Amino acid sequence: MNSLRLGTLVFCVLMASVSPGYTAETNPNAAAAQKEGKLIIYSSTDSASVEPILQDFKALYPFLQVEYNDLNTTEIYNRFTAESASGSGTADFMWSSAMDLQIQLASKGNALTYASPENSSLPKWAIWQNQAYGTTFEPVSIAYNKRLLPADAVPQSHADLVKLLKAKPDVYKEKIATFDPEKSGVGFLMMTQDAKVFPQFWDLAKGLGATGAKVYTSTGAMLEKVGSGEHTLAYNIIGSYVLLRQKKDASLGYVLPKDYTLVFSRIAFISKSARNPNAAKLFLDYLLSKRGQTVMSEKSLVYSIRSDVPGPITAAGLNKDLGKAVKPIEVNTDILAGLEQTKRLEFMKQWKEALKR
Amino acid sequence: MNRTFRSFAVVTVALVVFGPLGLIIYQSFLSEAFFSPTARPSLGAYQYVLADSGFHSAFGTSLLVSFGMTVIAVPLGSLLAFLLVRTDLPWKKFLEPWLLVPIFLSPVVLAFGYVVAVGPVGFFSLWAKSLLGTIPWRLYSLYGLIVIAGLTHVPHSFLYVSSALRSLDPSVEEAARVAGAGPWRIAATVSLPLVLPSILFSSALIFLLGFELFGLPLVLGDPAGLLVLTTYLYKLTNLLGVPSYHLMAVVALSIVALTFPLVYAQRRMLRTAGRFAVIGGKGQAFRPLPLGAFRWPAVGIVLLWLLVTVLLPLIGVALRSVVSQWGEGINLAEVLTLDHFRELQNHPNLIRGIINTLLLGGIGGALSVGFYAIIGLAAHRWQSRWVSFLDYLVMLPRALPGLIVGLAFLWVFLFFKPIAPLRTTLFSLWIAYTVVWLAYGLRLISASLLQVKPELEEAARVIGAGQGKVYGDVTLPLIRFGLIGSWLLMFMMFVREYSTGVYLLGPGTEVIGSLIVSLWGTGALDLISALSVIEVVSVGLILFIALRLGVRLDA
Amino acid sequence: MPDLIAKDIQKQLGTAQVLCGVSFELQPGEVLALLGPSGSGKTTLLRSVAGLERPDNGKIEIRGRVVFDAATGLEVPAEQRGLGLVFQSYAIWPHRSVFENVAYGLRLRRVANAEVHQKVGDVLKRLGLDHLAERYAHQLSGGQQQRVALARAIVYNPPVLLLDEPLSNLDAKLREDARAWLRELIKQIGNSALYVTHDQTEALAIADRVLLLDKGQIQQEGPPEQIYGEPTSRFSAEFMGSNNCFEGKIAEVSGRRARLAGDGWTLWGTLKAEKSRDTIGTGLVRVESVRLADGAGDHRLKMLLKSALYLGERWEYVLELGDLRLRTWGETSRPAGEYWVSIPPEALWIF
Repeated sequence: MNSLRLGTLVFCVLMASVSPGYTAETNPNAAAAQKEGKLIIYSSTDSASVEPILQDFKALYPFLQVEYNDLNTTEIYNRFTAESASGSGTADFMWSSAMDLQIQLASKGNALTYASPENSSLPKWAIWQNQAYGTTFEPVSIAYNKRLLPADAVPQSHADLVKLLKAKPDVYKEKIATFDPEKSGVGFLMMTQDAKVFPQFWDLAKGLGATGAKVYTSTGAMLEKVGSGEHTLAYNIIGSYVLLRQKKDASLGYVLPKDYTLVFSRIAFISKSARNPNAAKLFLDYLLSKRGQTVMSEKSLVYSIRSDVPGPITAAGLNKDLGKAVKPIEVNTDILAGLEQTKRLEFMKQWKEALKR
Repeated sequence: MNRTFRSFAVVTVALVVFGPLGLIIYQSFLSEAFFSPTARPSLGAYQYVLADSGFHSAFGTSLLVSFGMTVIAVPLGSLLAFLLVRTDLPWKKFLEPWLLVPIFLSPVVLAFGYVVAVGPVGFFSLWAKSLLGTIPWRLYSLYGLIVIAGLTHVPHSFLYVSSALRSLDPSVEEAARVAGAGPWRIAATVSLPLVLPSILFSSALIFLLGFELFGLPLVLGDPAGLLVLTTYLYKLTNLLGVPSYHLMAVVALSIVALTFPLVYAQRRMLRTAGRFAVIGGKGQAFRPLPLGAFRWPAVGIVLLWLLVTVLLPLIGVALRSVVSQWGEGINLAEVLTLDHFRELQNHPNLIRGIINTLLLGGIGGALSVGFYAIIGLAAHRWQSRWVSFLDYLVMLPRALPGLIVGLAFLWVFLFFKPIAPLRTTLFSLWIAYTVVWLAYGLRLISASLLQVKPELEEAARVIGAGQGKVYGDVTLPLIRFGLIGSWLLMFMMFVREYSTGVYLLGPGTEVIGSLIVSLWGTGALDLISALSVIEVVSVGLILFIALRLGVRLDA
Repeated sequence: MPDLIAKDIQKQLGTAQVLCGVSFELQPGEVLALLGPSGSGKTTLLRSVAGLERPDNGKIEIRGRVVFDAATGLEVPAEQRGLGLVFQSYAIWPHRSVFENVAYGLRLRRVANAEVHQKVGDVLKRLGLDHLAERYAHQLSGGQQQRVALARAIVYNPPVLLLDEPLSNLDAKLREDARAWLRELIKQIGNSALYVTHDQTEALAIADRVLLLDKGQIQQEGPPEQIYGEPTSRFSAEFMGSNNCFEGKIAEVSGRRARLAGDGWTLWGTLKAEKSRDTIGTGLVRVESVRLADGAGDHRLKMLLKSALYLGERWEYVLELGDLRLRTWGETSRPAGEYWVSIPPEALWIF
């Protein structure tokens, strides 16, 4: 209870310190956007966590009516492709955590080329051809149940996890949760990246199989079950989600693996056939701005990608803590390799064999 | 007028059924999404799916689940029907409404309720563990899925068997009594054999529903890697990285190909009526069969079923909606909160969802009943091959998974320009729901229509009323209570429906059912629980009103 | 010892008192008809005996064994009373063949298979159904179904045979044949039988004794001739037969006789109720007791024949005199006109 109250206190202090600076007048698109008057967003960021961002954006541009569609990543892709093909209107602004699907849409010419004035403040790898933008800097973590797992028992790195699974398969029998790469695009992305970076990945997969790990399609379902103690540990959980959930469930904790921490970025692009392109530009600029990123970090608890936003939930904070261990997934067409069918199915097959499913 | 009216009905139904279905068939023969410029005719989808070992195992699991749940649900449902309809079981009036509750609960909610109640760290499991030292069941397993699917489908068989039993002439049972048979023997040798057609009908129906299970296997089977056809279908949206509509279409059609012969067989079966002719009783009050010493054990059976099937998941969901955390090592009294209900206010889409759901159930339900009534009247007392054509036609959408019907309707609304503007309104959902529930709704209407004695209509004809007048002045007024009852039932079905709306979900078309599926993806289970409690309460309220008004739920 | 004793049977259904204390006995071999209009409680009485209804009060004994006693709360369930019951709807189980319908009671009594075949065969033969053994109910005519129901009820030799309007679902023609056949059969097997009917002709023809019920009470009890010929109440008189019924003033009372007078007519009749002079009385005379006479005489009236109706085997004449209107029967067609009509005082009952 005490820690919860403390958390609330810290949160309130953070809220009070939102930095001002970015104003409507400085954005050259504002006037055109005012004429459009409307902005349609398809996003996989759930409405609860996006609320502070949208509120601040609306405060800046009160003339815009924002229609925010909270959809899952597959639905975003489905809708966008079908709606574009039918010629009926679709989203102006696409913002999704399915990095591969977003890049694919952009690479097939669905994205508007627009160099945001904020470009210079972003890492180079986060911008693809001035079309697709990485907007966040989210470490992939290992989440665990604080009630049931003492802090010193929590693996601090991927290698630790492999050792743990080998040493105590009975203790962790069915106690570990992770993504199902077959059903979750995000899960697939993380695991293929793991396989690239981490030589022991297939040992890890076998270890998961030996302990009868359960696989899920969503982070939320995993966190619910880690919170309840059905699982004590969940592997490959986006840190921001744990942070957000800690507000409600104090028993959740997470560690950022010391050997390497994958960093994941929600990709945004403006639809080429956008009916309100200027409003969309306005939103992109805001999202990438220091003001937007600060709100994102401090209120939405999503890690900011800008190096000039201070605090723990930021790229700067992460880089300070982990140094070279930070491994961002870059925003470019390399990612599309995962969508290549034979390779993809080959990976799935290997995964299923490792898990003995 | 009659001819035009009937042709209109057949054409309309054919259009709303074949529109989406045709699109699915067309899609199955293409190499990728039909709207993609590079799509070309191909049998590749069939080749891939039919050769995929994942499909084979999902198919086998589906078959096993369907079979298993039928074996559990039908005997139990029939037994409960006999006990509640024909015997002097105590507390009947109180028990009966509860028996139907599982029908009106969203399966995702039900399944999640089970996770909270009897999952590995569910409150009931932990209690059992503290008593026995171990948990004697495994929720996430094939048999767990089968048992729960079986138990939660008991009401389906109960509904059909009990309505047949109600129309059974009590004297056939009394004859057996006087001849010396006790209640169980009467059930086994007279009552249940006589309603065999209904038992078979409900078996076929439950078997069919087994192939469409989505919510239960999604929540209970997924973690264990257990795939059924519908969850396999769901997997296909990601397997290749991008949604593989052509593969999904093939799987959907394979379900139709499998279930449709079943519908056909069941219709054939019902045709050999004679031996089972429903014997109209005189409708006089009869004395229920006394169970004697078995009274209390019988109540025990019913209560046990209620506990496992209704109470456990409901308590689970209700509990989750008022605690901030749960599970091993949590003292629930310390984490009680109403925050989740309060938080609903911060989600305008959830609030809209609640309002939309009520609108869709209330107004949409009434409109659907109106539509069903028009179709029902067109087929009423029409001796034609077109009627059996209609019969099969309306079963088609039921044989397709709701998810796919919803997707097909999304396409129809996108690519059929005249109705495109309606896509983002509740109207699109209303059409999809109306089509999905076509068979059920028509059955309700035709059951009411059959109770109108032909003489009453003929009398009006002879006096000089045209067909339209006859319907308006005689038939419809006579079945008005049936229509009101149907409306309440459709309300409950629409409120509960979840898979059909998933693809049509967007601003303006949020409904509780599909929001729950969507939230399931983000894992906001606290909100889901709060929403579910609201859903259950509103459905429960309507159920209560319906029963108060004397609505027969079994039609 | 009687086969069946029912004492003070009372039963309330909802707010209606269906049976208000009915008692009767059934002697071995006797056929007792429970006769009454619908709502008289006769079927409820029969179902109470069978154990299908529970009376609120009273006592029922079958061959000396108490099967129901409200005082002690004892109620032997229907399946243990061992009775045979023929339902109005026959209640033939449509999913079993004729043979299996009939054999059911024997199988429940764990009779050996060979004996079942023999007994069922015998009964079916006796009822002329042996060639239909493998048929199902929907393949049988109404008369055949009725006989199957009967066979099913008698095959295990119940102490009492209960029949609930067994002939009411047959055609009029078939019914007349069946009634003679049924009585013969019951007499032949020597069973005692309780026979519920609303058809007086059927009751009179089949029963040894008739129990006339109305509003849950016994109105009259006795052999058929007595019930028809000597009604003790206005209800009995009116319920039986085809009647002329009219009102008049009691003009004179003399012992059991009284004179009833109206507008232009006066008739002597037999008093069936306590009546004093100058009160209004109801005269009731069976149609067949009114005769056309060849001339004037005692107990005769000169009446105007208004119409003659042809009924097939006879004619019905409608006669009028002042406010008196009578029907009678004759063999021939007659033209309208004045006729003398004879109404014997012993046939005219005054209530």
